[in-house]
Amino acid sequence: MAKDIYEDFLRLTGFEEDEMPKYLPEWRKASAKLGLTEEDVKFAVKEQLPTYFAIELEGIRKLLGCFIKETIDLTRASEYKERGAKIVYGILPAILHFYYALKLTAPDKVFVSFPDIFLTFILNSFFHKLAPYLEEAERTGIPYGCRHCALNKTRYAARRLGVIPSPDINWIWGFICDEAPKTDEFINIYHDPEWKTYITRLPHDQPLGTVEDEVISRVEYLAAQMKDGFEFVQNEIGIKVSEEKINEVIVIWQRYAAKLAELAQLMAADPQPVGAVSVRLFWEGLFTPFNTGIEAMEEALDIAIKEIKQRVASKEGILPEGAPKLLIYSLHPTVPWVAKTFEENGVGIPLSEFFLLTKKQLMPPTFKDPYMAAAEGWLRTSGMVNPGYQSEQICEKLETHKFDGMVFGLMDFDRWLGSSHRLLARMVEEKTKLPVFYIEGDNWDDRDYSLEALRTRIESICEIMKMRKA
Amino acid sequence: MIFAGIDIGSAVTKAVLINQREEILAFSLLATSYDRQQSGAGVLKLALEKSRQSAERIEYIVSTGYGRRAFTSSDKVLPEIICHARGTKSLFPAVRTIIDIGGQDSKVIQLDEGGMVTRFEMNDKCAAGTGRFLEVLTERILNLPIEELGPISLKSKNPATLSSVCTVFAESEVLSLLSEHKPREDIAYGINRAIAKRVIAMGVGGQISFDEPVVFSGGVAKNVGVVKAIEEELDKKVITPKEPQITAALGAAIFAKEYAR
Repeated sequence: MAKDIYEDFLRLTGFEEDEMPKYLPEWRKASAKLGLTEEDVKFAVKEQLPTYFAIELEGIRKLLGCFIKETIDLTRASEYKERGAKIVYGILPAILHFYYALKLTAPDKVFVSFPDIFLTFILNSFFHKLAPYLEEAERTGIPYGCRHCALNKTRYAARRLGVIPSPDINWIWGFICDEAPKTDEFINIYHDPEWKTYITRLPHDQPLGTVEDEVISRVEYLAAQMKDGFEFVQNEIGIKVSEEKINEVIVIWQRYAAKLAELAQLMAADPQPVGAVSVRLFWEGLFTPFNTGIEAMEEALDIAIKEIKQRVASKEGILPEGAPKLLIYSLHPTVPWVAKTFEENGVGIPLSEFFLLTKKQLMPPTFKDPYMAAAEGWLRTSGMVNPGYQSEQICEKLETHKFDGMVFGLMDFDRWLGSSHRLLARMVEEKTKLPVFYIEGDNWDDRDYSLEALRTRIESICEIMKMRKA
Repeated sequence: MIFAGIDIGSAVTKAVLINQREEILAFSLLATSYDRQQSGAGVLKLALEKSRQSAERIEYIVSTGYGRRAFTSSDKVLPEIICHARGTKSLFPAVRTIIDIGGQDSKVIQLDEGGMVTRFEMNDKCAAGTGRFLEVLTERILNLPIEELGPISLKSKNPATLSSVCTVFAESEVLSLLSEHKPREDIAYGINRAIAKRVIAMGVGGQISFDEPVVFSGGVAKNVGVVKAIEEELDKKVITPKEPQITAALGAAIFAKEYAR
């Protein structure tokens, strides 16, 4: 082990020897900009990463490394801007094809990022140190408890603390909640007049159970909204993207998605081959654009699949064979101890529902027009706002991977999801007759958790599942 | 050969000793101290003394409750939801819903016909709707011993309404009612009704259907006023165990017997 903890950190996150001269100074600089101390880095090396991530696997180390490289890049966004690159931000959930298409068209002239995602994931999942950002936001205008999620607070605080520059355009999406667009208005009015935003929305106005991707007018509407948005963005930054580039991204996205489907199959194996937190970040490749590109993520994914395959073949697992397994709505490594508590109590939660793809989602798009294809792709997800359709999809996923039950919740930060989860829980339970649980909590931000109460909930669920399975 | 269940709650620690036939040999209660190991050991010693058994006869110990992990003498640790269900089912085999209100938490548990827990809800982060809520309002504000809150509330003819279930805000509401010379029995019933509404709303939020038989346990179940308020709010009969505080410890003891195999 090296004497330098920063170097140890990079080794632990899959950096190669020949990358050290370039990345070690950059990582030192980036971590200082993020507000991380040597003690924080030491905590990650000695405790957080070994506890929650299967760092014995090269694929997982490389995955972590991709996030570190991207975060280093994010802390250099101001430099890129000074050199004339156009800065384009977005928020989750969004259609990332357009961001990647910009990048493919003009790699050196544009910087794309969903900054809050990377900051939140890196700071809490690796260092458990998002709190200073959240507290900064709460201290200066987004009060505690006002239901703005950690992502919004982080985006605002990161700008306020000078971690990220103003974007040339922030293309945001009101697909699920209305909090994110409001946060951007807030940033613009109260803190940064240069914080320019374009919003693409999708109203939640479909009757319960509508199969939205099969309603042509719906697909056309969303496609038109996306096209308007993308044209606005292109005009703002002066970069013209061809439709071929978007189609090129769709092909890459589908290839990556197919590999994730294979990983999902492996994770659903009995016994569960690795802890859920270890692999979760691979799915971000489908929903968050990497300015450094998806290629390194794909390479890490290939390695991880190969390694996990070996574990599955040799029946090596983190839980005993036959252990109950639950599908969780969305597992976040930002509160990694949630998954760990399940696993320590003999129950697996190997996969997140939202990130699993249905058979239909894995099919090639029906439309050649890239906007129609992208719109259809999003509507195939049921968009988290159409519980009737979504519950059907959840049932398919439960059946495909032979889950013993499901866990909803940990979404209290979101007004919409916080309540729709209760509805979904009931619908899924009625349709499948499987046990379905709901856990109160916030899977971005664990400052407000009653640890003991949450542990009691999780342990109770585990005991119920073990009794049922027995 | 005997089996012990220890429930280390936030306010009271309980122990139950049972034999092979799951008959209760003795139970004991002790205020929980900051040292939960000591609380567990102390309450177990009391139960052993009451049953005239020696510690060597204990085959297996299961601990549960808020302080379950701190009691290092146990053979197994289980969450209290499961223990409540098992203990209550042993007393009332047909039970379908358990409402448990303890010192700092409240729970609603739904069971299927076989006694398996199908849903549960617990309060989180907040003492509203718990024994602590009653304690603060009764002893500090109404100046009544907590044991008298139930009986006095049954004399209410025109119950007061507390609009807030927040312990802090409810305090000032009760003070306002007192300054308006509202009768204490009406305020007392208002307090009991507030806690009943809170715990029922929590269960309804968790899609618990409050199927009968409904059993009400925990220290607050000793308050006849809360029992009445829950019955009125649910429009259902509520059963209260003779010793409502020991159901989780009893369940833990039954699990101890099963795990000892």
